[in-house]
Amino acid sequence: MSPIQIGQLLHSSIQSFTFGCAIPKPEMPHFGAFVKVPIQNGTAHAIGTIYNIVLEDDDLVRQIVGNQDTPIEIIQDQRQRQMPIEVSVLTLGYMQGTKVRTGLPPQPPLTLSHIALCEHTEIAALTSDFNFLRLIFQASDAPTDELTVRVLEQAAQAHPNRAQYLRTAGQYLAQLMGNDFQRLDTILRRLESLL
Amino acid sequence: MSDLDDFLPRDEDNRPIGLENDTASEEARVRLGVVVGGSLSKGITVKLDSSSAVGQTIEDMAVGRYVVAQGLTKRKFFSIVTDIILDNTNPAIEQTPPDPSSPFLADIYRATVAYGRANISPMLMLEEDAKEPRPNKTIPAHFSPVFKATEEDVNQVFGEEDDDHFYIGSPLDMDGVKVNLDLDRFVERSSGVFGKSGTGKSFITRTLLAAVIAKQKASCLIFDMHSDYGWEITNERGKTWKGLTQILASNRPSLYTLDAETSRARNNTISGEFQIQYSDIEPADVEMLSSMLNLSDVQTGALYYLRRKLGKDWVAKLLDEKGSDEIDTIIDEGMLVKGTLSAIQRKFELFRRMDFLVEKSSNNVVTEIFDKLTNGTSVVLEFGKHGDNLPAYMLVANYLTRRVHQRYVEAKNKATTQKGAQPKPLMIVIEEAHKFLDPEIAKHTIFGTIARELRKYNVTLLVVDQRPSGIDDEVMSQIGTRVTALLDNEADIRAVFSGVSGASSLREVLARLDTQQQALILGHAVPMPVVIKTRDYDETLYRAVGYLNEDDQQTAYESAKSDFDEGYL
Repeated sequence: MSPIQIGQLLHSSIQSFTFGCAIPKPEMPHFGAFVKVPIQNGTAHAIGTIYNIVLEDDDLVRQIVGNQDTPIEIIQDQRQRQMPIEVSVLTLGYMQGTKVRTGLPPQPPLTLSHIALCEHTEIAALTSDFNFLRLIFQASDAPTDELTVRVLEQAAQAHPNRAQYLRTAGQYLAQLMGNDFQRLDTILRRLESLL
Repeated sequence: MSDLDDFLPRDEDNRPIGLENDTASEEARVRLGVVVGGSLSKGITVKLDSSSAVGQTIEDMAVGRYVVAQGLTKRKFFSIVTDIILDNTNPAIEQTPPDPSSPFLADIYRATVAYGRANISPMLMLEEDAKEPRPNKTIPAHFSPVFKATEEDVNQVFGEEDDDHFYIGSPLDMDGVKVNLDLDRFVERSSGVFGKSGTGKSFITRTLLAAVIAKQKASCLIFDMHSDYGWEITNERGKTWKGLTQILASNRPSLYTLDAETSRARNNTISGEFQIQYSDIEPADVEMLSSMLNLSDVQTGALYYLRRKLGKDWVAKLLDEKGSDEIDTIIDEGMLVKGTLSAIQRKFELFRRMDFLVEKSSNNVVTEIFDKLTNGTSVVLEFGKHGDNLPAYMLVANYLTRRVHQRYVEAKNKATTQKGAQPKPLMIVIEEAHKFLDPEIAKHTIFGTIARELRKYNVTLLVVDQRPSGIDDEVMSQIGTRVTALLDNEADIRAVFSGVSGASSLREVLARLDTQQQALILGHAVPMPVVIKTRDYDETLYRAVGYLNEDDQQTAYESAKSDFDEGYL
């Protein structure tokens, strides 16, 4: 089965990249999803997680918003326009062949590269240890606490013992964030609610 | 099969041959945590591992437990747990602990933010290729793993049981593992058995005495105040335990009594009745009782004057209600105030209730006992009905010890000057020792002298006491081996550790002992302090010291008869 492609790259760096896509369907792309993009002429893939989705406005939208009772037909027309949605991805690792590594890739992906959703096996390989959580906490412009919960929720589904995975992740977080007990406690309570 | 298999052959289970022992020994060890800090003087801090079972590592720890830190240079550090602490990486968790109904959060915090620490006190270390452990001079490096001690570890420290080492108990939670006491070192210096009332001092003392006598390490002179040692005792539920004269078959102690009537009523086999002639009492025998008799310094000084003036029958003359011309003369000459003399006579009335004090005794029991002791036969002196009479106990103990000690001094001097045989080592056992070794009198009494002179004349003490704080500091510092059951008085605990380096860390251990059958042993006869569950005083111990029950006697008889019939004898 070929991977589900969800967009094309707009701009990138070693640490993150942004891709554009059409109006999102309810199930994709979504916050915390694992995606991949080819790098190094397709010999490898950068893997990351979606940490932001931005829908920009334009003058037409501003005009329509000014009209208090917008007819449904106009709203549907607006949704059919070719206005790209910008999706930001935080790079967590990269994959060469079947080997998945946590950390930043050697090169950024090139523009217009196709973005695809990761397979469960790829997510399981990337999240088998918890070093990727450090990259999330180092991200300056991502909502790290919320992203952590969502990413671990995704990762737990890729592992056979979901509850045990979340418990081990919690222990790792406790070591990582022991000094900031209030934040840690909030995240752990969110993880507990996922059980 | 790879080429490597030629170099690393494997067994049928595909395990590398030659590595079985290492793997087995690692598996046998239970890891408790890692060293994270500390110092040689204050002890080592161990961060306890979070176990799979909730709280198990912490709650399984106990002060006094014996652990081994495996140094990174393969040195083993034999240590004792002195404290257990609950700690955390962030004090905020103390303000907002996880809800107990939420095992997820509690499990995570318990393994990370909240954790257990143990303080351990390294006592000995064993170099990689050495056979004997040495006193500790360094500490294990950071992150050295710490394990529960194994039987092998205990044996490395305390040696195997043999004629010189007697099994006296097991380390905490290590049933079946033997802690062996070095008997030669135990009798080499004065020793003490301490513990508050009801903690099993008598059983421990009886075990120690059985070992010393059975292995012929010393003759023992036991002042058996409450008839605990010589013959069998029965508790309130009717259970009986045999006494030393019953279980020691080949080195049976001689049993003397101050109260023949009671001894006969208990069916004791006694060797003789202990009596003291009034004429044999010296002022120094009475001086120790001065506080008990409430004798003032003037009155105590007058005793020596009266002895000189009245002769050896001075006590009898003072007790003679008819009076005597000699006493009148003393008053008339003005050498003694009548009030002083009357006070002494009144206080001496106490002696009338001591029916072992007699005008004339037919035997010379002091010589008899001395001869037995020097021939290697121990002596138990039972007090019977006088057991609750502390002045009687002190008078007899002082009287006999002074004379036996004097003869030992003479025998030792003679042996030294004439190159003769040394007198058999003697261990004198006294109970309520703080009465004999009170700081005010210890310097002047025979017991203080014996404790201070160490083994100069082959005489040492075994003091049994529940108030070690009442014993003179100088004497306590000379106590070589201290066997201590539970003590909860701070002054007593301090006294037990006086003169012991690094003792502060052991105080918690001592204060947390069980009330029964647990003791901390430290000092001359053990390589390192150790908390033990003392061995049961039962048939197994009886046999270990030579007791033959009826079946054993029948077997021995039949064996001897068979040998005789076959002409071997």
